[in-house]
Amino acid sequence: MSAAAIETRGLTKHYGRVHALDDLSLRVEEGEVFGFLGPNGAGKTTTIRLLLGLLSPTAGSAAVLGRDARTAPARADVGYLPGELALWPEYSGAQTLDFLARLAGRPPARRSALIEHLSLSAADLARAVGTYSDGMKQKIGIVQAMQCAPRLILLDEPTKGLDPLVQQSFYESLAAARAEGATVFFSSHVLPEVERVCDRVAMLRRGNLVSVGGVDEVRRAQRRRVAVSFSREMDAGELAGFGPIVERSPRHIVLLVAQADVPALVTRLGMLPLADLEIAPPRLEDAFLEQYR
Amino acid sequence: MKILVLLSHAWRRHRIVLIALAGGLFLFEWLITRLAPEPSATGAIQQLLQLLPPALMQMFGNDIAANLNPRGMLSFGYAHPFAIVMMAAWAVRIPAGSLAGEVGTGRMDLIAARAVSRGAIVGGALLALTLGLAIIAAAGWVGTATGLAGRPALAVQASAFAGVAATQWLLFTAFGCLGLLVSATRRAGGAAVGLTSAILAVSFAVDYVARAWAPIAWMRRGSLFMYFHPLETATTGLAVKDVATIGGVAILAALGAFVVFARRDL
Repeated sequence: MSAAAIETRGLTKHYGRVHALDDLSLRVEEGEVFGFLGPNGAGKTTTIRLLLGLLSPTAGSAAVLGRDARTAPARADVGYLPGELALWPEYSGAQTLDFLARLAGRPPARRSALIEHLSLSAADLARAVGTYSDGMKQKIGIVQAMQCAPRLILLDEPTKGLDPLVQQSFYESLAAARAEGATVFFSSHVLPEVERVCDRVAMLRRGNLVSVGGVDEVRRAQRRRVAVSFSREMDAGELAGFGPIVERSPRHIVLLVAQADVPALVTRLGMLPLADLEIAPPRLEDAFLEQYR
Repeated sequence: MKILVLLSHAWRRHRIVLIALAGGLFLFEWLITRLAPEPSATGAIQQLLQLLPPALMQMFGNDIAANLNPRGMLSFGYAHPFAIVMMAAWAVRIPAGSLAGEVGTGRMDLIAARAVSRGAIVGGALLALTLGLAIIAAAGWVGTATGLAGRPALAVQASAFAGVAATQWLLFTAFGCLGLLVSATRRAGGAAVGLTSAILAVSFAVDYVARAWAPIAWMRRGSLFMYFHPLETATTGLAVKDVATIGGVAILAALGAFVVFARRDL
Protein backbone atom coordinates (compact mmCIF):
# COMPACT_ATOMS: atom_id res chain seq x y z
CA MET A 1 0.00 0.00 0.00
CA SER A 2 1.41 3.44 -0.93
CA ALA A 3 1.99 6.11 1.69
CA ALA A 4 -1.15 8.06 2.48
CA ALA A 5 -1.22 11.86 2.33
CA ILE A 6 -2.38 11.81 5.94
CA GLU A 7 -2.42 8.91 8.35
CA THR A 8 -3.21 9.14 12.05
CA ARG A 9 -3.21 6.28 14.54
CA GLY A 10 -4.88 6.72 17.88
CA LEU A 11 -4.16 10.43 17.72
CA THR A 12 -5.11 11.99 21.05
CA LYS A 13 -4.78 15.44 22.56
CA HIS A 14 -5.82 16.28 26.10
CA TYR A 15 -5.49 19.61 27.87
CA GLY A 16 -5.73 18.53 31.48
CA ARG A 17 -9.28 17.23 31.87
CA VAL A 18 -10.38 18.55 28.50
CA HIS A 19 -10.25 15.86 25.81
CA ALA A 20 -9.82 17.90 22.64
CA LEU A 21 -9.25 14.80 20.51
CA ASP A 22 -9.55 11.12 21.36
CA ASP A 23 -8.06 8.18 19.53
CA LEU A 24 -8.43 9.48 15.99
CA SER A 25 -7.41 6.95 13.35
CA LEU A 26 -7.82 8.27 9.85
CA ARG A 27 -6.29 7.73 6.43
CA VAL A 28 -6.53 10.26 3.60
CA GLU A 29 -5.20 9.07 0.25
CA GLU A 30 -3.17 11.27 -2.09
CA GLY A 31 -5.32 13.18 -4.56
CA GLU A 32 -8.44 13.13 -2.36
CA VAL A 33 -10.47 16.13 -1.32
CA PHE A 34 -11.38 15.25 2.23
CA GLY A 35 -13.96 17.15 4.26
CA PHE A 36 -13.67 17.42 8.01
CA LEU A 37 -16.94 18.30 9.69
CA GLY A 38 -17.99 19.09 13.21
CA PRO A 39 -19.42 21.86 15.34
CA ASN A 40 -17.22 24.30 17.24
CA GLY A 41 -15.05 22.52 19.77
CA ALA A 42 -15.34 19.14 18.03
CA GLY A 43 -11.56 18.90 17.55
CA LYS A 44 -11.18 19.87 13.87
CA THR A 45 -8.63 22.63 14.42
CA THR A 46 -6.79 20.55 17.02
CA THR A 47 -6.45 17.75 14.45
CA ILE A 48 -5.07 20.12 11.81
CA ARG A 49 -2.62 21.63 14.31
CA LEU A 50 -1.44 18.15 15.28
CA LEU A 51 -0.92 17.32 11.60
CA LEU A 52 1.26 20.42 11.26
CA GLY A 53 3.33 19.70 14.35
CA LEU A 54 2.07 22.89 16.02
CA LEU A 55 0.82 20.70 18.88
CA SER A 56 2.34 17.55 20.34
CA PRO A 57 -0.05 14.61 20.74
CA THR A 58 -0.83 13.26 24.18
CA ALA A 59 -0.87 9.81 22.58
CA GLY A 60 -0.84 8.27 19.13
CA SER A 61 0.92 9.41 15.99
CA ALA A 62 0.34 11.34 12.81
CA ALA A 63 2.16 11.05 9.50
CA VAL A 64 1.97 13.59 6.70
CA LEU A 65 3.10 12.56 3.20
CA GLY A 66 4.79 9.56 4.80
CA ARG A 67 6.74 11.52 7.42
CA ASP A 68 6.29 12.03 11.14
CA ALA A 69 4.12 15.16 11.43
CA ARG A 70 6.28 16.54 14.26
CA THR A 71 9.32 16.98 12.01
CA ALA A 72 9.97 20.04 9.83
CA PRO A 73 10.60 18.05 6.59
CA ALA A 74 7.03 16.68 6.82
CA ARG A 75 5.79 20.22 6.14
CA ALA A 76 8.01 20.82 3.10
CA ASP A 77 5.18 20.08 0.69
CA VAL A 78 2.23 21.31 2.77
CA GLY A 79 0.18 24.48 2.41
CA TYR A 80 -1.93 25.69 5.32
CA LEU A 81 -4.68 28.23 5.81
CA PRO A 82 -5.43 28.79 9.53
CA GLY A 83 -8.99 29.21 10.75
CA GLU A 84 -8.06 32.43 12.52
CA LEU A 85 -5.78 34.05 9.97
CA ALA A 86 -3.40 36.73 11.31
CA LEU A 87 -1.02 38.63 9.02
CA TRP A 88 1.65 41.29 9.54
CA PRO A 89 -0.28 44.57 9.20
CA GLU A 90 2.72 46.61 8.08
CA TYR A 91 3.48 44.27 5.15
CA SER A 92 1.83 44.72 1.79
CA GLY A 93 0.00 41.75 0.32
CA ALA A 94 2.90 41.13 -2.09
CA GLN A 95 5.49 41.31 0.71
CA THR A 96 3.45 38.84 2.76
CA LEU A 97 3.29 36.37 -0.12
CA ASP A 98 7.02 36.80 -0.90
CA PHE A 99 8.04 36.25 2.72
CA LEU A 100 5.90 33.14 3.13
CA ALA A 101 7.06 31.69 -0.21
CA ARG A 102 10.72 32.22 0.77
CA LEU A 103 10.02 30.53 4.08
CA ALA A 104 8.44 27.60 2.25
CA GLY A 105 11.63 27.34 0.21
CA ARG A 106 9.77 26.69 -3.04
CA PRO A 107 8.96 28.96 -5.97
CA PRO A 108 5.40 30.36 -5.93
CA ALA A 109 4.53 28.62 -9.21
CA ARG A 110 0.77 28.94 -8.80
CA ARG A 111 0.64 32.47 -7.40
CA SER A 112 -0.27 34.42 -10.51
CA ALA A 113 -3.10 32.01 -11.42
CA LEU A 114 -4.52 32.25 -7.89
CA ILE A 115 -4.25 36.04 -7.84
CA GLU A 116 -6.12 36.21 -11.12
CA HIS A 117 -8.75 33.70 -9.99
CA LEU A 118 -9.40 35.55 -6.73
CA SER A 119 -9.48 38.96 -8.45
CA LEU A 120 -6.58 40.48 -6.52
CA SER A 121 -5.27 43.52 -8.40
CA ALA A 122 -1.71 44.84 -8.39
CA ALA A 123 -2.98 47.84 -6.40
CA ASP A 124 -4.51 45.51 -3.79
CA LEU A 125 -1.21 43.65 -3.43
CA ALA A 126 0.73 46.89 -3.05
CA ARG A 127 -1.43 48.06 -0.11
CA ALA A 128 -0.55 47.37 3.54
CA VAL A 129 -2.39 44.32 4.88
CA GLY A 130 -3.51 46.45 7.84
CA THR A 131 -5.88 48.29 5.48
CA TYR A 132 -7.49 45.09 4.12
CA SER A 133 -11.04 43.92 4.77
CA ASP A 134 -11.51 40.44 6.28
CA GLY A 135 -12.40 39.06 2.84
CA MET A 136 -9.21 40.49 1.31
CA LYS A 137 -7.11 38.99 4.09
CA GLN A 138 -8.77 35.64 3.49
CA LYS A 139 -7.87 35.86 -0.20
CA ILE A 140 -4.21 36.46 0.73
CA GLY A 141 -4.50 33.53 3.14
CA ILE A 142 -5.73 31.25 0.36
CA VAL A 143 -2.99 32.38 -2.04
CA GLN A 144 -0.21 31.86 0.53
CA ALA A 145 -1.50 28.36 1.29
CA MET A 146 -1.58 27.26 -2.36
CA GLN A 147 0.97 29.46 -4.16
CA CYS A 148 3.88 26.99 -3.97
CA ALA A 149 1.78 24.14 -5.45
CA PRO A 150 1.99 21.92 -2.34
CA ARG A 151 1.10 18.22 -2.51
CA LEU A 152 -1.08 18.56 0.58
CA ILE A 153 -3.29 21.57 1.34
CA LEU A 154 -4.80 21.92 4.82
CA LEU A 155 -7.62 24.44 4.91
CA ASP A 156 -9.39 25.43 8.12
CA GLU A 157 -12.70 27.06 7.18
CA PRO A 158 -11.35 28.56 3.95
CA THR A 159 -14.44 30.39 2.68
CA LYS A 160 -15.00 32.39 5.86
CA GLY A 161 -15.56 36.02 4.88
CA LEU A 162 -15.61 35.41 1.12
CA ASP A 163 -18.53 36.65 -0.96
CA PRO A 164 -20.33 34.06 -3.15
CA LEU A 165 -18.52 35.11 -6.33
CA VAL A 166 -15.10 34.74 -4.73
CA GLN A 167 -16.20 31.45 -3.16
CA GLN A 168 -16.94 30.20 -6.66
CA SER A 169 -13.46 31.27 -7.80
CA PHE A 170 -11.98 29.55 -4.78
CA TYR A 171 -13.71 26.28 -5.66
CA GLU A 172 -12.29 26.55 -9.17
CA SER A 173 -8.79 27.09 -7.74
CA LEU A 174 -9.29 24.04 -5.57
CA ALA A 175 -10.39 22.01 -8.56
CA ALA A 176 -7.27 23.14 -10.47
CA ALA A 177 -5.02 22.12 -7.57
CA ARG A 178 -6.74 18.79 -7.40
CA ALA A 179 -6.35 18.26 -11.13
CA GLU A 180 -2.62 18.68 -10.61
CA GLY A 181 -2.71 15.89 -8.01
CA ALA A 182 -2.87 17.85 -4.76
CA THR A 183 -4.60 16.39 -1.72
CA VAL A 184 -6.95 18.75 0.09
CA PHE A 185 -7.96 18.39 3.74
CA PHE A 186 -10.80 20.75 4.29
CA SER A 187 -12.51 21.69 7.54
CA SER A 188 -15.79 23.52 7.25
CA HIS A 189 -19.16 24.32 8.77
CA VAL A 190 -20.65 25.00 5.37
CA LEU A 191 -22.21 21.67 4.47
CA PRO A 192 -23.30 22.40 0.89
CA GLU A 193 -19.72 23.39 0.08
CA VAL A 194 -18.33 20.17 1.58
CA GLU A 195 -20.98 18.22 -0.30
CA ARG A 196 -19.98 19.96 -3.50
CA VAL A 197 -16.20 19.86 -3.19
CA CYS A 198 -15.27 16.73 -1.20
CA ASP A 199 -14.92 13.07 -2.14
CA ARG A 200 -15.04 11.81 1.43
CA VAL A 201 -16.02 13.30 4.75
CA ALA A 202 -15.30 12.62 8.39
CA MET A 203 -17.47 13.89 11.21
CA LEU A 204 -16.12 14.67 14.63
CA ARG A 205 -18.08 15.08 17.82
CA ARG A 206 -16.49 16.15 21.09
CA GLY A 207 -13.11 14.94 19.94
CA ASN A 208 -14.34 11.58 18.66
CA LEU A 209 -14.68 10.40 15.09
CA VAL A 210 -18.34 9.51 14.61
CA SER A 211 -18.44 8.80 10.92
CA VAL A 212 -16.20 8.63 7.87
CA GLY A 213 -16.96 7.70 4.31
CA GLY A 214 -17.73 8.90 0.80
CA VAL A 215 -20.11 11.85 0.60
CA ASP A 216 -22.65 9.73 -1.31
CA GLU A 217 -22.22 6.87 1.13
CA VAL A 218 -22.86 9.13 4.12
CA ARG A 219 -25.84 10.67 2.39
CA ARG A 220 -27.29 7.25 1.51
CA ALA A 221 -26.84 6.02 5.07
CA GLN A 222 -28.95 8.93 6.20
CA ARG A 223 -32.67 8.40 6.91
CA ARG A 224 -34.93 10.04 4.34
CA ARG A 225 -37.41 12.70 5.25
CA VAL A 226 -40.85 11.55 3.99
CA ALA A 227 -43.79 13.97 3.99
CA VAL A 228 -47.22 12.33 3.46
CA SER A 229 -50.58 14.09 2.97
CA PHE A 230 -53.87 12.18 3.16
CA SER A 231 -57.29 12.94 1.70
CA ARG A 232 -58.91 12.33 5.11
CA GLU A 233 -57.82 12.28 8.73
CA MET A 234 -55.43 9.48 9.60
CA ASP A 235 -53.99 7.95 12.74
CA ALA A 236 -50.25 8.58 12.69
CA GLY A 237 -49.77 5.26 14.46
CA GLU A 238 -50.41 3.57 11.08
CA LEU A 239 -46.91 4.58 9.97
CA ALA A 240 -45.05 4.62 13.31
CA GLY A 241 -43.32 1.33 12.56
CA PHE A 242 -41.35 2.86 9.66
CA GLY A 243 -39.44 5.45 11.67
CA PRO A 244 -39.75 8.39 14.05
CA ILE A 245 -42.55 10.85 13.29
CA VAL A 246 -41.21 14.40 13.43
CA GLU A 247 -44.36 16.35 12.46
CA ARG A 248 -48.01 15.43 12.59
CA SER A 249 -51.41 16.99 11.92
CA PRO A 250 -54.76 15.22 11.20
CA ARG A 251 -54.05 14.92 7.44
CA HIS A 252 -50.25 15.36 7.29
CA ILE A 253 -47.35 13.30 8.68
CA VAL A 254 -43.60 13.78 8.32
CA LEU A 255 -41.36 10.89 9.32
CA LEU A 256 -37.73 9.81 8.95
CA VAL A 257 -37.32 6.49 7.17
CA ALA A 258 -34.22 4.38 6.58
CA GLN A 259 -33.32 4.07 2.91
CA ALA A 260 -33.97 0.31 2.98
CA ASP A 261 -37.50 0.77 4.38
CA VAL A 262 -38.66 3.26 1.73
CA PRO A 263 -40.07 0.59 -0.70
CA ALA A 264 -42.11 -1.04 2.09
CA LEU A 265 -43.41 2.38 3.16
CA VAL A 266 -44.49 3.21 -0.40
CA THR A 267 -46.32 -0.12 -0.63
CA ARG A 268 -48.09 0.58 2.66
CA LEU A 269 -49.03 4.12 1.59
CA GLY A 270 -50.62 2.66 -1.55
CA MET A 271 -53.21 1.03 0.71
CA LEU A 272 -54.07 4.35 2.41
CA PRO A 273 -56.00 7.43 1.11
CA LEU A 274 -52.86 9.17 -0.13
CA ALA A 275 -53.19 12.77 -1.42
CA ASP A 276 -49.51 13.68 -1.82
CA LEU A 277 -46.09 12.18 -1.12
CA GLU A 278 -42.70 13.87 -0.96
CA ILE A 279 -39.47 11.96 -0.34
CA ALA A 280 -36.63 14.45 0.06
CA PRO A 281 -33.29 13.50 -1.49
CA PRO A 282 -30.73 12.60 1.18
CA ARG A 283 -28.60 15.58 2.25
CA LEU A 284 -25.29 15.69 4.07
CA GLU A 285 -26.81 18.37 6.26
CA ASP A 286 -29.37 15.88 7.57
CA ALA A 287 -26.61 13.42 8.40
CA PHE A 288 -24.71 16.20 10.14
CA LEU A 289 -27.71 17.36 12.12
CA GLU A 290 -28.62 13.83 13.15
CA GLN A 291 -25.09 13.24 14.44
CA TYR A 292 -25.01 16.41 16.51
CA ARG A 293 -28.63 16.82 17.57
CA MET B 1 18.70 29.20 4.83
CA LYS B 2 15.39 29.70 6.63
CA ILE B 3 17.18 31.45 9.51
CA LEU B 4 18.30 34.22 7.13
CA VAL B 5 14.75 34.60 5.79
CA LEU B 6 13.60 35.07 9.40
CA LEU B 7 16.45 37.53 10.02
CA SER B 8 15.42 39.65 7.04
CA HIS B 9 11.81 39.45 8.30
CA ALA B 10 12.94 40.88 11.67
CA TRP B 11 15.00 43.58 9.93
CA ARG B 12 12.05 44.64 7.80
CA ARG B 13 9.73 44.81 10.80
CA HIS B 14 12.06 46.52 13.28
CA ARG B 15 14.53 48.52 11.18
CA ILE B 16 13.09 51.92 12.03
CA VAL B 17 13.32 51.23 15.76
CA LEU B 18 16.86 49.89 15.30
CA ILE B 19 17.95 53.02 13.42
CA ALA B 20 16.35 55.24 16.09
CA LEU B 21 18.06 53.39 18.96
CA ALA B 22 21.45 53.35 17.24
CA GLY B 23 21.11 57.03 16.33
CA GLY B 24 20.07 57.90 19.88
CA LEU B 25 23.03 56.14 21.46
CA PHE B 26 25.43 57.64 18.91
CA LEU B 27 24.26 61.16 19.76
CA PHE B 28 24.31 60.47 23.49
CA GLU B 29 27.88 59.16 23.57
CA TRP B 30 28.98 61.99 21.30
CA LEU B 31 27.34 64.48 23.67
CA ILE B 32 29.20 62.95 26.63
CA THR B 33 32.51 63.71 24.90
CA ARG B 34 31.35 67.32 24.61
CA LEU B 35 30.55 67.50 28.34
CA ALA B 36 33.63 65.66 29.64
CA PRO B 37 35.94 67.99 31.58
CA GLU B 38 39.48 68.51 30.34
CA PRO B 39 42.18 67.17 32.67
CA SER B 40 43.10 70.72 33.77
CA ALA B 41 39.55 71.37 35.05
CA THR B 42 39.10 68.23 37.14
CA GLY B 43 41.25 69.37 40.10
CA ALA B 44 38.92 72.24 41.07
CA ILE B 45 35.84 70.01 40.97
CA GLN B 46 37.60 67.39 43.12
CA GLN B 47 38.20 70.12 45.73
CA LEU B 48 34.51 71.06 45.68
CA LEU B 49 33.61 67.42 46.31
CA GLN B 50 35.70 67.40 49.49
CA LEU B 51 33.14 69.86 50.92
CA LEU B 52 30.43 67.14 50.90
CA PRO B 53 29.42 65.76 54.35
CA PRO B 54 31.53 62.64 55.13
CA ALA B 55 28.52 60.26 55.04
CA LEU B 56 27.46 61.49 51.60
CA MET B 57 31.03 61.42 50.40
CA GLN B 58 31.31 57.79 51.50
CA MET B 59 28.07 56.86 49.79
CA PHE B 60 28.35 58.67 46.45
CA GLY B 61 31.40 60.91 46.48
CA ASN B 62 33.98 58.24 45.72
CA ASP B 63 32.11 57.15 42.60
CA ILE B 64 31.68 60.74 41.47
CA ALA B 65 35.33 61.51 42.15
CA ALA B 66 36.39 58.49 40.11
CA ASN B 67 34.30 59.72 37.19
CA LEU B 68 35.57 63.28 37.34
CA ASN B 69 38.15 62.85 34.65
CA PRO B 70 37.71 62.37 30.90
CA ARG B 71 38.01 58.56 30.99
CA GLY B 72 35.62 58.29 33.96
CA MET B 73 33.05 60.58 32.39
CA LEU B 74 33.13 58.73 29.08
CA SER B 75 32.86 55.37 30.88
CA PHE B 76 29.87 56.67 32.82
CA GLY B 77 28.21 57.31 29.47
CA TYR B 78 28.07 53.53 28.87
CA ALA B 79 26.37 52.81 32.22
CA HIS B 80 24.08 55.86 32.14
CA PRO B 81 20.34 55.07 32.32
CA PHE B 82 19.86 56.56 28.85
CA ALA B 83 22.38 54.13 27.34
CA ILE B 84 20.80 51.30 29.31
CA VAL B 85 17.33 52.19 28.02
CA MET B 86 18.59 52.29 24.41
CA MET B 87 20.12 48.82 24.67
CA ALA B 88 17.32 47.40 26.83
CA ALA B 89 14.64 48.47 24.36
CA TRP B 90 16.09 46.12 21.75
CA ALA B 91 16.90 43.36 24.27
CA VAL B 92 13.26 43.32 25.36
CA ARG B 93 11.49 44.03 22.06
CA ILE B 94 13.05 41.41 19.79
CA PRO B 95 12.76 38.31 21.99
CA ALA B 96 9.22 39.18 23.08
CA GLY B 97 8.06 40.07 19.57
CA SER B 98 9.71 37.17 17.75
CA LEU B 99 8.36 34.31 19.86
CA ALA B 100 5.55 35.08 22.33
CA GLY B 101 4.31 38.05 20.29
CA GLU B 102 3.94 35.96 17.13
CA VAL B 103 2.32 33.10 19.05
CA GLY B 104 -0.13 35.47 20.72
CA THR B 105 -1.30 37.06 17.48
CA GLY B 106 -1.54 33.71 15.69
CA ARG B 107 1.04 34.70 13.07
CA MET B 108 3.42 32.04 14.36
CA ASP B 109 1.08 29.47 12.75
CA LEU B 110 2.04 30.72 9.30
CA ILE B 111 5.75 30.43 10.10
CA ALA B 112 5.78 27.18 12.08
CA ALA B 113 3.42 25.41 9.64
CA ARG B 114 6.17 25.56 7.02
CA ALA B 115 9.27 23.40 6.83
CA VAL B 116 10.99 25.57 9.42
CA SER B 117 12.34 23.93 12.55
CA ARG B 118 11.60 25.44 15.94
CA GLY B 119 15.37 25.80 16.33
CA ALA B 120 15.51 27.99 13.22
CA ILE B 121 12.74 30.21 14.63
CA VAL B 122 14.63 30.74 17.90
CA GLY B 123 17.90 31.03 15.96
CA GLY B 124 16.45 33.78 13.77
CA ALA B 125 15.34 35.70 16.85
CA LEU B 126 18.74 35.20 18.52
CA LEU B 127 20.54 36.45 15.41
CA ALA B 128 18.28 39.53 15.17
CA LEU B 129 18.87 40.19 18.88
CA THR B 130 22.66 39.92 18.82
CA LEU B 131 23.19 41.72 15.51
CA GLY B 132 20.82 44.55 16.47
CA LEU B 133 22.54 45.00 19.84
CA ALA B 134 25.92 44.98 18.08
CA ILE B 135 24.74 47.75 15.75
CA ILE B 136 23.43 49.87 18.66
CA ALA B 137 26.55 49.33 20.80
CA ALA B 138 28.82 50.04 17.82
CA ALA B 139 26.88 53.25 17.10
CA GLY B 140 27.53 54.34 20.70
CA TRP B 141 31.25 53.66 20.32
CA VAL B 142 31.34 55.54 17.01
CA GLY B 143 29.71 58.45 18.88
CA THR B 144 32.54 58.37 21.42
CA ALA B 145 35.20 58.07 18.71
CA THR B 146 33.71 60.91 16.65
CA GLY B 147 33.46 63.15 19.70
CA LEU B 148 37.01 62.38 20.84
CA ALA B 149 38.36 63.16 17.37
CA GLY B 150 37.10 66.70 17.89
CA ARG B 151 38.52 67.07 21.41
CA PRO B 152 42.18 66.02 21.43
CA ALA B 153 42.65 67.92 24.72
CA LEU B 154 40.84 65.11 26.56
CA ALA B 155 43.89 62.92 25.84
CA VAL B 156 41.86 59.68 25.67
CA GLN B 157 42.02 57.07 22.90
CA ALA B 158 38.68 55.91 21.50
CA SER B 159 40.09 52.38 21.25
CA ALA B 160 40.01 52.20 25.06
CA PHE B 161 36.19 52.16 24.83
CA ALA B 162 35.88 49.40 22.25
CA GLY B 163 36.06 46.85 25.06
CA VAL B 164 33.46 48.80 27.05
CA ALA B 165 31.06 48.77 24.09
CA ALA B 166 31.75 45.04 23.64
CA THR B 167 30.91 44.23 27.28
CA GLN B 168 27.85 46.47 27.04
CA TRP B 169 26.79 44.40 24.00
CA LEU B 170 27.47 41.15 25.88
CA LEU B 171 25.53 42.32 28.96
CA PHE B 172 22.41 43.15 26.96
CA THR B 173 22.79 40.03 24.87
CA ALA B 174 22.58 38.10 28.15
CA PHE B 175 19.44 40.02 29.13
CA GLY B 176 18.06 39.43 25.63
CA CYS B 177 18.73 35.70 25.93
CA LEU B 178 16.89 35.68 29.26
CA GLY B 179 14.12 37.48 27.38
CA LEU B 180 14.15 34.74 24.73
CA LEU B 181 13.79 32.11 27.45
CA VAL B 182 10.88 34.01 28.98
CA SER B 183 9.31 34.56 25.57
CA ALA B 184 9.66 30.86 24.67
CA THR B 185 7.36 30.00 27.57
CA ARG B 186 4.70 32.71 27.08
CA ARG B 187 1.63 32.96 24.86
CA ALA B 188 1.47 36.77 24.63
CA GLY B 189 4.03 39.41 23.72
CA GLY B 190 2.86 41.74 26.49
CA ALA B 191 3.59 39.19 29.20
CA ALA B 192 7.06 38.54 27.77
CA VAL B 193 7.79 42.29 27.60
CA GLY B 194 6.63 42.74 31.20
CA LEU B 195 8.66 39.85 32.61
CA THR B 196 11.85 40.66 30.71
CA SER B 197 11.61 44.34 31.64
CA ALA B 198 11.09 43.34 35.26
CA ILE B 199 14.21 41.12 35.23
CA LEU B 200 16.23 43.99 33.78
CA ALA B 201 14.85 46.64 36.13
CA VAL B 202 15.27 44.50 39.26
CA SER B 203 18.81 43.58 38.21
CA PHE B 204 19.70 47.26 37.74
CA ALA B 205 18.02 48.35 41.00
CA VAL B 206 19.65 45.58 43.04
CA ASP B 207 23.10 46.54 41.73
CA TYR B 208 22.51 50.25 42.33
CA VAL B 209 21.12 49.93 45.86
CA ALA B 210 23.55 47.22 46.96
CA ARG B 211 26.48 49.38 45.87
CA ALA B 212 25.25 52.30 47.94
CA TRP B 213 24.24 50.34 51.07
CA ALA B 214 26.86 48.02 52.53
CA PRO B 215 24.52 45.69 54.51
CA ILE B 216 23.03 44.35 51.27
CA ALA B 217 26.21 44.47 49.23
CA TRP B 218 26.11 40.65 48.91
CA MET B 219 22.98 40.97 46.79
CA ARG B 220 25.00 42.45 43.92
CA ARG B 221 26.10 38.95 42.98
CA GLY B 222 22.55 38.31 41.82
CA SER B 223 22.70 41.16 39.33
CA LEU B 224 24.33 40.92 35.91
CA PHE B 225 25.21 44.63 36.20
CA MET B 226 27.78 43.68 38.86
CA TYR B 227 29.92 42.21 36.07
CA PHE B 228 29.81 45.38 33.94
CA HIS B 229 32.59 47.86 34.89
CA PRO B 230 33.01 50.44 32.12
CA LEU B 231 35.74 52.45 33.90
CA GLU B 232 37.86 49.40 34.79
CA THR B 233 37.43 48.00 31.30
CA ALA B 234 38.43 51.34 29.74
CA THR B 235 41.46 51.50 32.03
CA THR B 236 42.75 47.94 32.27
CA GLY B 237 40.91 46.10 29.51
CA LEU B 238 38.38 43.26 29.55
CA ALA B 239 38.10 41.17 32.73
CA VAL B 240 37.93 37.54 31.62
CA LYS B 241 35.96 36.46 34.70
CA ASP B 242 33.23 39.07 34.09
CA VAL B 243 33.01 38.24 30.39
CA ALA B 244 32.80 34.52 31.18
CA THR B 245 30.05 35.07 33.75
CA ILE B 246 27.88 37.25 31.51
CA GLY B 247 28.59 35.04 28.49
CA GLY B 248 27.77 31.91 30.49
CA VAL B 249 24.38 33.33 31.50
CA ALA B 250 23.71 34.28 27.86
CA ILE B 251 24.58 30.80 26.57
CA LEU B 252 22.56 28.96 29.22
CA ALA B 253 19.53 31.19 28.69
CA ALA B 254 19.72 30.80 24.90
CA LEU B 255 20.01 27.01 25.20
CA GLY B 256 17.02 27.03 27.54
CA ALA B 257 15.03 29.02 24.99
CA PHE B 258 15.88 26.52 22.22
CA VAL B 259 14.84 23.54 24.37
CA VAL B 260 11.64 25.08 25.76
CA PHE B 261 10.41 26.41 22.41
CA ALA B 262 11.11 23.10 20.64
CA ARG B 263 8.93 21.23 23.13
CA ARG B 264 6.01 23.60 23.60
CA ASP B 265 2.61 23.64 21.93
CA LEU B 266 1.97 26.65 19.74
